Amino acid sequence: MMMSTHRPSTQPSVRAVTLIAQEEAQTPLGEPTHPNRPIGFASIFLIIENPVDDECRLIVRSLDVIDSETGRLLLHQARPQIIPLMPLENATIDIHLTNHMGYGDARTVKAIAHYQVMPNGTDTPLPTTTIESPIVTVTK
Amino acid sequence: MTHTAFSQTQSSFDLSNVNSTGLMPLDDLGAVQGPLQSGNSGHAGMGFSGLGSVEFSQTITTTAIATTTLNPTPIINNQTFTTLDFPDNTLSTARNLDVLTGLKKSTGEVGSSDTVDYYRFSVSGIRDVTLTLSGLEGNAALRLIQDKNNNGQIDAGEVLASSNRGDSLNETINKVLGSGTYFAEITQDIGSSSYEFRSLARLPQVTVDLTRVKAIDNPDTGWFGDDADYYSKITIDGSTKTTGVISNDNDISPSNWSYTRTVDGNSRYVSIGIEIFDNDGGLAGADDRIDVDSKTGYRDINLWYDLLTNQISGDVNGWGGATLSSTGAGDGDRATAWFKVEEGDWYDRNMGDYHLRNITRSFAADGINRTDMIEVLRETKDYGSITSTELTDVRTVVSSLAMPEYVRNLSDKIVNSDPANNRSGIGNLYGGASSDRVESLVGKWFYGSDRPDAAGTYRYASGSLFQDGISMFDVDQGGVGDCYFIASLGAAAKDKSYVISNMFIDNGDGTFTVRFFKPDGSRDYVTVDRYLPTNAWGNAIYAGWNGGDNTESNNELWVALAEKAYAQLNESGWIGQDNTNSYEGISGGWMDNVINQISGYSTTSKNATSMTQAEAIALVNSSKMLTVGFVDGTIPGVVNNHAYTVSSYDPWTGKFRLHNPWGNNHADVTWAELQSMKGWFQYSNV
Repeated sequence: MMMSTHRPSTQPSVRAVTLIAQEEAQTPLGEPTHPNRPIGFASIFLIIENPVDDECRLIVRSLDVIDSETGRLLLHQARPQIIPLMPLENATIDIHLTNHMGYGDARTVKAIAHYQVMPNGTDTPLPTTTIESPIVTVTK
Repeated sequence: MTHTAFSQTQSSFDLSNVNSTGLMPLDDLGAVQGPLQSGNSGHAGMGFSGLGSVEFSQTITTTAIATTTLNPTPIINNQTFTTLDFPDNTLSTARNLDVLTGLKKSTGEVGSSDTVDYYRFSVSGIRDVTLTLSGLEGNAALRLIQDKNNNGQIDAGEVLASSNRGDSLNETINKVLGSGTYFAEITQDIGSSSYEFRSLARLPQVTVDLTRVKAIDNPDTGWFGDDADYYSKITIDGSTKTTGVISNDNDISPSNWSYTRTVDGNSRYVSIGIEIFDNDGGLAGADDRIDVDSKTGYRDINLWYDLLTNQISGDVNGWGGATLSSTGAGDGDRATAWFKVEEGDWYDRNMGDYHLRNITRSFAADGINRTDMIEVLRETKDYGSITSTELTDVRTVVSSLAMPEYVRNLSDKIVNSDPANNRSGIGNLYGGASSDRVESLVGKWFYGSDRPDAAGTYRYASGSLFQDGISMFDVDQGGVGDCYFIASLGAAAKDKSYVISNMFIDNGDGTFTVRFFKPDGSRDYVTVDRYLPTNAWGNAIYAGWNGGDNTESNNELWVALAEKAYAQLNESGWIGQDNTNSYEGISGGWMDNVINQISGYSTTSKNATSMTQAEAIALVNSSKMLTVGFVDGTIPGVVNNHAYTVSSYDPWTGKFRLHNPWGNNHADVTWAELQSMKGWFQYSNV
């Protein structure tokens, strides 16, 4: 019988993704009405760890928020976002997506992040890693 | 205790009779009453006449006053004993801490006129002793001394350890000591400094790590056709731990074949035994005992570990902390075992930085509170930056040690991250980050020093958090469109005042830590100080405080501080606003979010057009936090795009009273009017 032991990560990584999803159909109280304002909101938090005592970069390739039941894409960001990390730096990056349609009939959603790590001194990123958030209920 | 030489120039106390618990015997205190009063009868506050009412169950602390004085005034105030400390300037007159058991704390001061303080303590048995000097304003040094020849002098070879890092850095010593009498010497180096001296004695802990076993002869060859199935038994001071089995591997490097044991401290020598087995039965059907002893005819490793010298003897000779090995010499199943023996507690095993480890051990001995954690974090500022080792250490502290939830939450933002760290321009900590960054993060999260962008001028607000209890009428919206937030506070004040009182932790230093709930139910905290945005006359620009200008003592601050905390929290990116640290950033929103964020309770949002009047009346008469907002036009007296606290229903008039967060005004409306305005009722489900 081989013993199973936890090995700490030796590469920078997105350790967890969390999501807050909200649809706000009514104009917020306390400020003037904006007829063309967005009504679908997603706050995506990437909890990033750099366990290496060296600088590196983490590239968020894309972010999707999908209906967890149907897989339908609801919010999307394709523009890569480069996150520089200092030695042993942990970072929580929040990315906020909006749309003008809301979440429709989606009740529960999840976020999916695709990212790559680029170790210091290289121009070649490591293979793309995908990580998902827990499924959350859309607040309407 | 004796009191001697109360002259016009010099006074002294001999505190040698302070007993083992740090308390001064009642008889001694009583004895000093006469001389003090008779010799200094003209000095107010001199007498010990109140001693009979002093509670002696508390620690008595001696505080140095390093100036010559005509009035050596012993003060007993909240069970803290304060006196002059000139007598402790020699080994023979050192303050007596008696036998070190657990943690003892003393305060004092060294400076140009009183350059040294000595503390005497004794150790019974073998103890792991930690001495720390913290809270320094100037440069002081710490030495551990044993007057081996009892001549009252510090001779060569009598300084066992020393710590002198310069500036106002904490000084720490950790050493295993045997039975005897010792002294701690605290000396002024540069400048005067008060200090807190902590002495902590614990039973030693010994750890044996078995890091590798490699077969010389495969014990399974010819029988089972595979490799060894090793497990081990590690014995420390007569107590044995049996490890798990690692199967089918002749060369193993187990990660957790480790045993830590607190020894009884009665002897400096600790017996160690290491046995290796192959568990699949072998010829006799019993586990095979593997030979790892270099002596022919023996199979197990047996050692003595000397706690005082750190020396290892027996089947293998070496030093604690070093990786040692032993190879079986017999002709049976043989292997080589690599292992490490060392003394040390959890802090030694899990923290790499010597001084940070000692400070943390010392503070954790009586529980880590907010002040302790700030001190631990600031310890990483030594030498201009936080090293990778220190950063890893403080992360271990935050994730592993017991502390109040809000202290852990705020510390986590400092040692790990929060979106507000980068957004504020401070940045996260990393290995090599400057000590300025450490201090900025401590200031931001523990002292509220990163205040929200605001109009006007920040001024210190006098008054108190609450005046005459918590009331819906305390709320008074100011110059930002956060009616939804203020109306929600009003609803909480009306129906669940504990929600408001539980939001605030008074840190006692002019700051308050404020609690909020995230959508997942977890708690999040920010700290605010008492500086609030004011106009030219010192009046509130944003939420009011029911008083006049900022200097008035009847100001009630909870609404203004909650609003400021919400503006700061916005920067963390999860409250659904614009993610800035600003008052303007919290303009516009809905109450159901806020009710959930301040209480943790789930909420319901319903339009009046889909409710019955009876349902609305039941809500008003319940203890649920109830608000209403209007976005589809209103009637005269009710403001559109505005939030209200629903405060009551009058069955005689059939009208609902809507409390306006703008202050002490309200609107009384009928159910038909509420429906015609399409009011949105938002309320807590509890």
